Amino acid sequence: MSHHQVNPQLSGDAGSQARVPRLSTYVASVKQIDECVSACVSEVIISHQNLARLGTLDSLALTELATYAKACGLKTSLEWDILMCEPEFHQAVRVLKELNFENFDSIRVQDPGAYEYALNGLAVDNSSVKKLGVHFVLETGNHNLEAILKWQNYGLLNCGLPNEGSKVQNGLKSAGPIASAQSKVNLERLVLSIELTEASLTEIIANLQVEVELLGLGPILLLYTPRHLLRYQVVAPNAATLFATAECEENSHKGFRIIDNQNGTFVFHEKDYCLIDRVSALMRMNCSVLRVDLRQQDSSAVPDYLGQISEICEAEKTQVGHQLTRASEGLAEAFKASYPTKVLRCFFQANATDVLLKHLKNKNIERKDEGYLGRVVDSTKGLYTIVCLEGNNAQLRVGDRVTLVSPAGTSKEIEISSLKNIEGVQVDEVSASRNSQEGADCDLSDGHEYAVLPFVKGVLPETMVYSV
Amino acid sequence: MFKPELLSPAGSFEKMVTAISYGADAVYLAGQKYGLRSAADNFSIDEIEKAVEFAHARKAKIYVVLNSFLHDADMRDLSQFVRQCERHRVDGVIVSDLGVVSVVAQCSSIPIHLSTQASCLNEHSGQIWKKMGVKRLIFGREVSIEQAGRIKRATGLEVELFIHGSMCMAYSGNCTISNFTKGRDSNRGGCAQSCRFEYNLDISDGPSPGARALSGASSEVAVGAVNGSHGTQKRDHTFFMSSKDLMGIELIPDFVEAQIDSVKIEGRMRSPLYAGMISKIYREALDEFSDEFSAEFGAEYQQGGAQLAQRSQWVGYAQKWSDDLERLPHRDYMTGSLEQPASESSVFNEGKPESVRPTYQILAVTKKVVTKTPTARESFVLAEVRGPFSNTDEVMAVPFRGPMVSLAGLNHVSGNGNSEGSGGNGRTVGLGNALGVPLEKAKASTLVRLPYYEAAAPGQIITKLGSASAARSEKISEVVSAEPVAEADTVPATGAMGEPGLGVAQ
Repeated sequence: MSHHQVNPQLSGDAGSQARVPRLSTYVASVKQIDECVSACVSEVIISHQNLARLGTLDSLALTELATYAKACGLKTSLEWDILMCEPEFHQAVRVLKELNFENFDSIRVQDPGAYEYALNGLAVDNSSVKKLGVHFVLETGNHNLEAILKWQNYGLLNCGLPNEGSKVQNGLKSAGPIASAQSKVNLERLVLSIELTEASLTEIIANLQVEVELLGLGPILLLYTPRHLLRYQVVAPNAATLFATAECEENSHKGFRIIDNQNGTFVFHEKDYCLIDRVSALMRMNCSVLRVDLRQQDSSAVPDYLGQISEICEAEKTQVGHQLTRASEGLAEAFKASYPTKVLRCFFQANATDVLLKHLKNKNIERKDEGYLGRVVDSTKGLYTIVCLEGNNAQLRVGDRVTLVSPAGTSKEIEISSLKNIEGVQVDEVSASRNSQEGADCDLSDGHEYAVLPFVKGVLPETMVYSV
Repeated sequence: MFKPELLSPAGSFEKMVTAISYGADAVYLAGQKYGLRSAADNFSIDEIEKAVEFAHARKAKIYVVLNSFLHDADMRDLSQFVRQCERHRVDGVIVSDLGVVSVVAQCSSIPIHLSTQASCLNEHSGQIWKKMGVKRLIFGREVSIEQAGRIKRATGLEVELFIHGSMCMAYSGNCTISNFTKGRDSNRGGCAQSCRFEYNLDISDGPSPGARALSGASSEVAVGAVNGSHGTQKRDHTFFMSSKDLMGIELIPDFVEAQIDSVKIEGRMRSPLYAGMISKIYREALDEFSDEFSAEFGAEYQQGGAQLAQRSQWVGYAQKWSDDLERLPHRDYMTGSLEQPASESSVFNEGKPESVRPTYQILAVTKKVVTKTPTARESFVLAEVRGPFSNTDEVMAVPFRGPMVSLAGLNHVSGNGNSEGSGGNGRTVGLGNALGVPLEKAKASTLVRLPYYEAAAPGQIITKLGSASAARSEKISEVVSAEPVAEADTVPATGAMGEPGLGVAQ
């Protein structure tokens, strides 16, 4: 498949000038909005308690905040990132139908059902939706270009009602015309996973037609469940939200931060994810938006953190074209030193989380089809070594030479000096073929057969047998 | 009457044979790549070919699992593997990643089943996956039977629900603890079962832990009830992230009423004992519900209306199977979210079962039945030994249908015609080595002869019941081997039980 390099971040400047990513962060109060304005944050994410995983606002408070943020010149994004079974989905839709979208620029969704509804149902159900961007969060999985392109293309082909368009039946529509400026709803952004490497991100973003957002700084979500895992652990909990830290004897499982709220339980890593010292790399890959999540930090310190991050980005902006001056690096290091939570870059440089998988089982006893005859199932000292012939049409004959590969990986070549079948009869050959025992009253339903060899010293059960 | 497909796990060729022989309508298995059970034996492409032959000869189906979240580098050989699967007439592939869905759809016409890993939970999600080419939805464990039935009707897709086995605590596919703590991608087969570990909790109703740390509060704050602002309570030695196991046998009427196309058993990492016994139990339950119980207890069932009275009668009727399920290694059972959302009681909090009954232990798997032939003077059953046992143990064979058969007292004559062997005294098993020489004890990883019994066939389980005290000790202390949580099996290290492999999800 061929992909075009179409990322719009650079397209306006003929692809020659990298831009500093815009900053986006979460707000839940007017004060925080003011702080965002001071720190040159361009977009705020506002979270409803029934729509967003960590949301705390009701509809009224949410709408008021959106109005205020818009008045301050900020872009506003409504967060709808919970995963939903049918009852929760219907509850969410009820909330969405009643919301005033006039002051929201976008809605960010993660459940594919929410993506579908945002694209094809929301504008039908809510007349206040006039012009809404959809931000689709692909942070869970979606680690290959093919998947990301499919999600993108679905969004581009299935944008909601044109301003004067026809009704969409049942809130669903098959592939239609590519979204235009006439659409009320447009796929605007994809939010990509923090498990992707810089190299992967660079390639993926280059092939996308919509802008990309990445987490720049914030907690690493490890587990999300709808079950309440803290609530039953405490005596008479009377708070709507519980917090905890979890420690385990297992070294790497320490300091987990846990939140149990109305939407379930969320487990976070002890450390935060941080790409603040990689802004130049983010610019090179054309990342459009950098999300900063400071909700688990002391709220009094947040303005300072936002200010520092904004300063780092500003320094990068002025350094474009002057690669040798790296003032921003010093600022980033200073920021990390002052930030109270330890930070990680995780897999940005490399993702080797599949390397250890090779060691989860003994590869020496993993069957390789070529030349495979079977495996040793019994090797009793002084009596016999028995091979279960399992390979397709596997056959052992007197005089054959075979290679024995032990579970420890050592290999030994032997010649078959004599053979018995499993009834103890001396034979010239034993075959796994179903027809080899034709006429015998044996049930060979799995096609396997046993060959009894003279005892082979040093050979253990599970040794693999291959033809030479 | 509508009868759901019984879909069993097959972590190896042997388990595939066992599961189908004991009544599974279909099994799911993985090749050497692309699945979530890196530690399972899994299947080479030749084995997949043979598995399909074996299954199709018995009117069963083979579904191949491709449900990893693949990175670009993982995708390189995928189309070739998919084409091989199609050439070998695989009946379906189980996929969670849209990129994989796309590749499968481009290079084959194999029906695509959406893995539970994709956490499809609602109708709109079902609709979008349908447009992507999916033919069957395997719902997240949070979806109820009733909801699944509704989504089936709304989307026109086949639907599948888990009915039995270990469960992920997280929304499937939404746990990356192993990724960030162990460097093992849980969604590519590396789950370290962190949710089964024992933790010490420091719980607060105050601000977030990060904020508390900043404000000077630490984990040493006062222990006490959380009854005011910033109260903190310690909870040590808890398995707060460990889920109880799913058991849905008592809800079979609801599965039938909702027309759930396939009921799935978790556990590719589990032993052949589990693959066989669980398939047998659910086969019998599904058949008896459809063929006998519904006829006996009410026409409503045949018309698809499970009335409350009949449902409670079914629970009593199903008790015989529930008892056997209790004798398989497991954590405490629950019905998950099949009826109502899983509550706080769904947590396997203590890391050990509430009640301990003796559990079945796997001793051997029969491989070949030799009846009287010109060269074998007496009939015998050849079995590969999985766990040691002696001639005097209460050894039982598990036929594919019907009650267990005690092997004690069955006469065994050795291949040498020596009828005085250790068998035949009316109480012992009558063990012989592979060539028929009498044995007192069978050692693991050997081939032995057992006496012939009625209904003997290859692929049958040889078992015995352990003692209750042994079971208790086993359940509490057993350490599970590296077991991918996204579909595990035996009970784990810290909250362990039974056999190796009790982890979680698909």
